[in-house]
Amino acid sequence: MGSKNVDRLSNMPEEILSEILSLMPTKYAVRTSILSKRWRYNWTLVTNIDINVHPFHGLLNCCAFVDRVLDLCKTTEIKLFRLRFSNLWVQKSRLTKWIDEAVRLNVRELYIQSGLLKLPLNLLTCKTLTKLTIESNNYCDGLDRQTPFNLPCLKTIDITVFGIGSRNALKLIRGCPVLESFSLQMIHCSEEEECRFDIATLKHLKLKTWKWGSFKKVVLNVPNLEDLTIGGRWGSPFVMEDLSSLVSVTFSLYPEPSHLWVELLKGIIGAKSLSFLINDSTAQVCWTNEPDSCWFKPHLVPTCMLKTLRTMKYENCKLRKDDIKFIEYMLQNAEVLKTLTITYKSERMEEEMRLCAELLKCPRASRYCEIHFVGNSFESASS
Amino acid sequence: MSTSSSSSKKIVLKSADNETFEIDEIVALESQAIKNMIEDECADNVIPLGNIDSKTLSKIIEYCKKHAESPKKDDNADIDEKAVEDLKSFDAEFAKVDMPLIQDILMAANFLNIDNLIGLMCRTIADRIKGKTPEEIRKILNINKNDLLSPEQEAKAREENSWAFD
Repeated sequence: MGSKNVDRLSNMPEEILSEILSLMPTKYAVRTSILSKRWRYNWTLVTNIDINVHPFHGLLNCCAFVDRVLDLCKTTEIKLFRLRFSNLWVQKSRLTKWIDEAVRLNVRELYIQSGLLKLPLNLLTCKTLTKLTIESNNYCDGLDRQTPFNLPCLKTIDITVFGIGSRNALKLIRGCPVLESFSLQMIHCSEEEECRFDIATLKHLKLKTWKWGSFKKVVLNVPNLEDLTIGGRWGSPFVMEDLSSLVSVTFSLYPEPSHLWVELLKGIIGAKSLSFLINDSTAQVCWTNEPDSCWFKPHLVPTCMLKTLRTMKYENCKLRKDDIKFIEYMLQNAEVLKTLTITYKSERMEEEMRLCAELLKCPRASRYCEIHFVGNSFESASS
Repeated sequence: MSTSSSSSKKIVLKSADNETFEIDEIVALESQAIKNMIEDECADNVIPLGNIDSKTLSKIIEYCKKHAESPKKDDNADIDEKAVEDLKSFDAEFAKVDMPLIQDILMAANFLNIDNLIGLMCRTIADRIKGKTPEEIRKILNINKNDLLSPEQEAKAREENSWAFD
C-alpha cells in the first residue's frame, strides 16, 4: 500500500475524508483549508456542522461563518447541526434561516443553544429529524394548540430552559409519534394546567426544576417507560397512571427525604432499581433554610419495596438524622433488596464510622441485602 | 482465542506479500466485503488481498478477532456495560500506532468494508489533527511541500473564514 506516498489522506475516498472532518468542531475542519492546495476545499465535505461561540468572541463574525459553512457545504444530509451561542441573543431571522436551511438539508440531529430561540414552523414538519436539543433562556415556537405538526422520526427531545418557555417545550410532545426519550430541565415553572404524558413509545423521561416546578398535576401514562428521573423541588401531585415497564428510577428531589418521596415511591410500582441523588449543588444554592425534619413514615409500605426493588443507591448522603431514618426505613421494609450503596462526603471520619455502625445494626427485611459504603475515610466497605 | 475454534470453518487470507493467515470464518465475517463474497459463493478457500500487506493485515485480523469474540450489543444489558468498556480499551490500545500504519489500516478497512474499524481510524486521525497548527498537521499528514498555498492564497483563505482562525 506504499506508505511512502505523500498526503495519502487527500487520496482517500470522499466519504472517508468527510467522516474525519466531521469528527471535529467545524472550526478545526475549516482550518484545514490552508494546509495545501488539495486541502483548500476538503472541509466542504463535512456532514456535521458543529459551531461553538464563547461569549465575547466575535458573535457577528461567527454568524457570517455559519452562513458561509451552510453555503459551501456539499452535503445533502446533515447528520448533526449544532450551534452553541452560550446565552447570547442571535437575531431571530438569522437563526430561522439557518434552521430552515438545515431542514432543507435533511438534518437528523439539531442542537441549538442560544439566549433567545423561536423554533421556526418549518422545523416542526421535518421528516428527517431524530434528535432535538435546545438550551435557551427564552424559548418559544409558533405553535398554538390547534396547529397540526408532525415529526415522524423524532425519538429524542432534550430541552433546558433557563428562563421562560418551559410550557412551550411540553407542546412539542403531541406531534412526535415515535418519541422514546424526553428530558425537560427548567429553572422554574408554575402552571395551572395538568402536565400529561400519554406516550406509548416513551422509554426515558427526565423532569427537573432548579427552583420550583408546579402544575395542577403531573400525569404519567407511559406504559413502556423504562427509566424515570425526577429532580428538584415540586409542588405538584404526581399521578402514576401506567408505569408498568419501569425498571429504574432516580430522584434528586428537594427537600429530602420528604412527603413527595413517599408519594412517588408508592407510584413506582414495578421499579427494580432506585437511586437517590441528594442535594445536588443547584438545589443547595437556592434553598438553604430547610426545616430539619421532613420525613414521615408512610402508613403502608410502597409496593415496589415489597416486590421488586433490588438495588438502591443513596448518593451524597449528608449523614443527617432524616437521611439515616429514611435509610433505616428502607432497610426495614424493602423485602427483596439485594444491594444498598451509600456514598457520602463527610469531613469527619468518626461521623462516617458512626453511620456505618448504626446502619449495620439496623434489622433488614431482606435476608440477602448487602450494604456498601463509599466515603472519604475508606475507599469502600461492605457488609 | 477460544479453544473450540478448531472445529469451526476456516478462511485463509493472503496478503500482498504472499503471507497467508488462517482465521475462523466468524472472524472474517466482520468484513462486510468478505461476508458478501462468502454469501455469493465467490470465495475460494484462499482469498487474495493484493493491496494489503501482511503487517496491516495482521493488525486487521487482531481487530476482527477481538470484535467477533465480544458479545454484540443487543444481547444482555448486564453483560453489556463491561463488554463495551473492555472493547473500548482494546480499541484505544489498538489505535496507538504511527500515522502511516493508521492510514494503511484505514485504506484496507475501507476496502474490506469493516465499519467499526473505519470509524475508529477516522476518529484517531481526527483526534490527532484537531486543534493543531497547520505546520504540525502538515507534518502529521506528510503533506507535500510542493502543494502549499502561496502566501496570497493562504491570506485569502484565512480572510474568507476569519472566525475559524481567531
